[in-house]
Amino acid sequence: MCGLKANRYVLFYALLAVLLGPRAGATAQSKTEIRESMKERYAELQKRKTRGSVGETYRGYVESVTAQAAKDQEIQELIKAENADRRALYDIIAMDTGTTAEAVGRINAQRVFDDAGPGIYFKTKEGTWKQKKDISELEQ
Amino acid sequence: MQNRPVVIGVGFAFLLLSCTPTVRVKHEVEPIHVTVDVYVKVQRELEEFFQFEEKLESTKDEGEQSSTD
Repeated sequence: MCGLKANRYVLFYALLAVLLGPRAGATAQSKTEIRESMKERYAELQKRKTRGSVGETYRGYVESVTAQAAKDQEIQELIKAENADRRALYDIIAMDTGTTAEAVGRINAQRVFDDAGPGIYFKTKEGTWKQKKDISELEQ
Repeated sequence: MQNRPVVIGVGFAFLLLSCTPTVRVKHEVEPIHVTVDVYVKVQRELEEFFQFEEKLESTKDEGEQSSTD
């Protein structure tokens, strides 16, 4: 009788470990993978941002600023890859901290704004692009 | 005499009501620091994650300085 009860508990905890174990490991690995991916892309992204072809939004993502950049395949792929990594990161942090990816994105947008140079473009809530030097604070 | 059952009934009802256990629910307003705590946690995680940006920037600055020297 006791053996049966103990076996049930063992089975329950074993199942829990199987379900949660890989996920916990996968989260840590995913953050590392995302970081490595973003590190590789960092220099190119900063170059595009300094040139004014790529800008930051108040939601914590990047977008093309100019019409020319919107047509450039290379820039669009850069933006797509960066946003995909950011979204994955926001999801992980949201789960860790008990909030939403949207909230994490906005907090990151503020961090980016604070660290950005004066010439970096930011998209306002109205949808217009402005350089940091022309914005007093990031609208959220 | 006719009212006696009614009186007894009402009295019994009052007795039941007075003996009914009351559950007091403490109404608590969630303090604002909960939201601030989450904001601080998220900020810390982001700063920790993006530390590589500072390192890359400092490496870039060192490279530019050595090239001008």
